[in-house]
Amino acid sequence: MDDEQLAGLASQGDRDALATLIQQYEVWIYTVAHKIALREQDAREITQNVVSKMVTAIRAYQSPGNFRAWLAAVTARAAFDFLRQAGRREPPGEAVPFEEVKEFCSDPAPNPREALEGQNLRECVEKAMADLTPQQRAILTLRLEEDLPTKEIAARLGIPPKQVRVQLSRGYTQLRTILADVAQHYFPVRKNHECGTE
Amino acid sequence: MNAALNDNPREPNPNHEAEDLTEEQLFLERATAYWLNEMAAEERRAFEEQMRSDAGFREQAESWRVILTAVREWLAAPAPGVISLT
Repeated sequence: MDDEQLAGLASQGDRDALATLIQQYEVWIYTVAHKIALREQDAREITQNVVSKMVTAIRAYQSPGNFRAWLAAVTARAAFDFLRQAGRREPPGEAVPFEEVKEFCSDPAPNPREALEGQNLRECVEKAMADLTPQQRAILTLRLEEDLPTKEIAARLGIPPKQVRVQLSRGYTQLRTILADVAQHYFPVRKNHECGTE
Repeated sequence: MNAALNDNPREPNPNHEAEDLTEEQLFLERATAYWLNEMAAEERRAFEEQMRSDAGFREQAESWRVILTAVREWLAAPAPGVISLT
């Protein structure tokens, strides 16, 4: 039985189907929560909150749909609520100021092994994401990981579409500002690229 | 919910009209739609024509593709720590 079928059954009150979904997705929920909250303890609490919410929220799930995107949005909203209630609107304490992140990522100079593994690039992405607001990280997660359009993100998060668009654009700009140099370092842009020849 | 989140002083006023997006932001929005394969056929053709005719545009679009890929890989990667509720 696939996830959509399980979600359909769970939305009609099938507790075994819901338990199976929770078991299958708890690590994934934690991952999404961690990408937004950036702290392990926070991500664990958000995951627990999401699992608790699923018991009632699944009743509103319309099957067939996109269960994973639905769950990602539930997780993003739970992360919003958690971070707001905990008064944690700022990135974690270890977050580095924008200028320092930009400087770090402008001159990667990795050793050969790091270059091979793209370690420095991943580190820069993590720092760049940490420099965004939790709301921007949540919106980016739904846009780039779940491929949801801005209108759908707005509907699922309960915020105006224009706000989603503006926050997304600001996030894009900031990521580009920080990551352009390091991305070029690892994957030089081919000057003679022809469209459709990849 | 949003009012509290948007109280963040680091964040500019989120109620700006989308029409106020900068040229760069509009480009990134468009390039993202292109690389995520979300453009309608006509818009896609226009984008690709611009890539063919404008080396600077092509380079910017390719550079953004690299960044998008890196961010998507980071988002999909497992998070540190463990969770087990069941």
